[in-house]
Amino acid sequence: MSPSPLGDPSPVPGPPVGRVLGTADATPLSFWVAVEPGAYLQLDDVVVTRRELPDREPVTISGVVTAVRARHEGALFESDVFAIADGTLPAQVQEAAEITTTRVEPEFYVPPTPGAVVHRAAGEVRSRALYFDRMEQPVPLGAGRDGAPVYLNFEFLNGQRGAHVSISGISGVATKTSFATFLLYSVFRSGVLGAEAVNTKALIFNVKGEDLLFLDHPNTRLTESTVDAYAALGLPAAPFPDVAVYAPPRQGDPTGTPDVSSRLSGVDSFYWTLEEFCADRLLPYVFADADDERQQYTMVVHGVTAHLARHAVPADGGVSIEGTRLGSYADLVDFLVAQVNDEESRPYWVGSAVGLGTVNAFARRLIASKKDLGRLIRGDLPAGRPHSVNTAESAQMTVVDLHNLPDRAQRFVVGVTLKSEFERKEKAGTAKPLLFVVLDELNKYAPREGSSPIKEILLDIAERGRSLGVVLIGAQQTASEVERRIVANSAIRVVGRLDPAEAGRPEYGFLPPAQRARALIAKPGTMFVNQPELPVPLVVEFPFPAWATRPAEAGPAPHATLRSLTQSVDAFAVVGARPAGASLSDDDIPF
Amino acid sequence: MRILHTSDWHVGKVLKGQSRMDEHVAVLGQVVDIARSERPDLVLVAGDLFDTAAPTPDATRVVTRALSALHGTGADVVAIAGNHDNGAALDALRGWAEAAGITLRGSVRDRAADHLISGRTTAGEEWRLVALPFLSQRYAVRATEMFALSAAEATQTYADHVGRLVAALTESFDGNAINLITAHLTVVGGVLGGGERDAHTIQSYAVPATVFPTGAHYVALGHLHRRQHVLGPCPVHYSGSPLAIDFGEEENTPSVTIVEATATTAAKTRDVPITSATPLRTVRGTLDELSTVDAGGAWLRVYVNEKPRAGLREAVQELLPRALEVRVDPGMLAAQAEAPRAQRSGRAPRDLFGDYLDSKGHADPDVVALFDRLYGEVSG
Repeated sequence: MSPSPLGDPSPVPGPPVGRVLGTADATPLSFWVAVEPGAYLQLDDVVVTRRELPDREPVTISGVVTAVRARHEGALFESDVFAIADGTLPAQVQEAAEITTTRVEPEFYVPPTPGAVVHRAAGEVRSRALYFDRMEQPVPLGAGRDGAPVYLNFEFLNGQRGAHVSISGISGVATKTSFATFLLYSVFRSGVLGAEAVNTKALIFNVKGEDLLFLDHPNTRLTESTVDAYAALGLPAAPFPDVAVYAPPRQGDPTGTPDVSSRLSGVDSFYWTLEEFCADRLLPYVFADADDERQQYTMVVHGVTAHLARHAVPADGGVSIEGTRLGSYADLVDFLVAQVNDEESRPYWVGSAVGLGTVNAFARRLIASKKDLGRLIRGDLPAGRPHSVNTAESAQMTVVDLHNLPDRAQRFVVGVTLKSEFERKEKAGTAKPLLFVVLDELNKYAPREGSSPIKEILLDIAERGRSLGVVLIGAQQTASEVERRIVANSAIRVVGRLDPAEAGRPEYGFLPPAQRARALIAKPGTMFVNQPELPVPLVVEFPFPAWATRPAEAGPAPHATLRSLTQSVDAFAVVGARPAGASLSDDDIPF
Repeated sequence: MRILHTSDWHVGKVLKGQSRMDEHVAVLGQVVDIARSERPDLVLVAGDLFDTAAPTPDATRVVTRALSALHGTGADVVAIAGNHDNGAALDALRGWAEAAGITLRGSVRDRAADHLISGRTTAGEEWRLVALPFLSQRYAVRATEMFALSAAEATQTYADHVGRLVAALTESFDGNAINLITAHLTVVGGVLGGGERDAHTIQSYAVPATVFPTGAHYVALGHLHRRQHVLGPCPVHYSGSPLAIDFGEEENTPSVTIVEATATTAAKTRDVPITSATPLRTVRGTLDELSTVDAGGAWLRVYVNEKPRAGLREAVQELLPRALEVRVDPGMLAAQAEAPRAQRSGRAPRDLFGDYLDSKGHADPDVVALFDRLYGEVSG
């Protein structure tokens, strides 16, 4: 045998498990294997076989088991099984497995010979079968069915050959957010980023509950077996080391206390000052409803935005426009409505070609936004304190909590934050270091029908983000309701438990039928990951998170997030600190 | 078991010079009557028993006799100190109070076991009570940090401190006994006044209701004077004060809260109104309108819709002898705010004084005449 240019052509395969069947067609892309007695094959096992060719080196065909069946050979009727079990009727139990080819090496697509020995792939043979040996930067995803680690090629995540992840599955069972956070943990801690891990940032939008606010707290339910599972993947079992949490200010609170009830330390409130609102032209994001682009009042919006940017002057926390000082968002709205309704000032604000009806439509919507956005756009809170979501100056992971905000306010925050992050990336000029954006409920922010500023930004990220170094990790319950271009641009597609009606949609065409059926009954923690290099999605079980996923699991807060020195001390010791001799305690009195 | 929950007595309160001791005696007498008829197993007084840190002898006498009378109905009595009380003084009396059958907790101590009180009703039900008196912010937020922390961080630090105290004290809560908490603080979601203002928008250091555990049967709070239920992981209630303490609380219906709870069922509350308090009312109008007002035995706060002048207050008090507070209606004063600044130099003192009176909205020709006479006498 001549030596193969790919290196050692024949590492030792695992134990033999059967032979290639001839009763079914064996094709280069799929073939059947008869399992020999004493051996077994389960779904997702990796097997390898070899085909000898007359004038070339042998071809190694590796594949993954996608279906297994067992039957009685020699039985005709269903009642025969009892006779067979008693031994009165001779019959043979035979198992057969369908193999979908993953790799043919060298790439000579010939079918395997019926009767050829099939081996279970282990060790290096398994790595070759699943393309792990060609991955220069493998990111551990979890354990496969056989317990050995499964990797993702980082080049399809960091924009080099592909980017963006799309995770689908029904709510609650599909563990989409847990998988997204585990993927980030793996990327940050497995060493694929090298030295630039210091400057790589992640931005997570939390839209459901307060569970994502505890990423830096250790999980009290961590067991030894889970720690071993992490060690098998080459990862330390620890919470995220550097997390900044932002939450909107409480409604009506003049001090701007963040509106979270389960985490009481280490949360900052985010808000925009009136000055930033005017200077950064944030008014269009107030009108981020789905059908806004088609309305006529968008011209009024842009006119007013431009006028504000030109004429608003910072004044003692608020802004001053043409002499009038405005101290809150409500004041600003009232002022703008008065200006556009007034015949004399209207041309300066919106131009002369705008009808009264259009102006009224603008005014109505602006007034409707007063209540929702009043707590986010402030003129009374200090501008010096960290209050804006800026990943360049913030921790490695930034969690922005949106679940307490009404819909319009959520869209405003997401739109403005993504826009400013994208602009910063554009100005930075280089794709590296990367920015990961995790956004849940993508079917709400980028629906297939309708358009909005947020959808435009998400589309921009999906289409241009690769070259700018912004990676979108989007999660949704139904990929069929998300803008097609966003899903189509995702190199990595992950599926958890699916709804049966949803599973039949063409967006999940990458799942072979057997896996699609399995996706309907997948248990929490099992995901089907599709990457461009492998023709078949891999089944991955990722370990239980080492960080807290709900308040009940949260251990003590990391020291760096505590703002006051009293928070790190036992609560009773704080109270008991009395200077000596200040007052008698009961113990001092002997009677 | 049956619990009677009351708070914020503010005995010793003097409202605009009018002592309310008689009302307090009547109101607390009614509370004791209610306790006699309802026969609770436990009486919780959730803070602010006294109005000042150095109560008068009369106030002390009323409070001690009220607590003893409540104990005399056969109930266990637990009282905690509020922000108005002198917590350390109450703690000093603990030994005497225990001997009288009354459990007092005046200040948060560093011994956790001090704040966990357990007992057993006559019917044999076990109960556990976490008694947390008012915790001053100065423990959680140190003076040295007041400049370093923003107001939001200070609020959070206080809430975190309270949360950790409650978590440490409620660790032993299980399903075998009735789990109760009493404290004196502002919870986010509570309302002030007639219910129109959220408490956390006015008062700082509000604590979210999630600091209380899900396994508590009832949380008896004091500090806000309006009877209300705050949404949280367990029943969180303010009993409200048994009489309107100050103007602004007129729309509250004073009451005490009766709670029925067992170890395995949810707590059910009902209110018993207190009717023997003198109501407080606010009336507005011109002098003519006010002359038609019938005080009806209530104390009045009067907003007069007239320009301020000498003798106005006396006129109002003549019309309404039960008026405790007389003010000019703010609507009248707002109209004066836009007066332009006049030039001052080169004008006679009489004109300047007349301008000054106009700018203050004072419309009284007698004062101007008096000024002229006095100025004439002084300048010869």
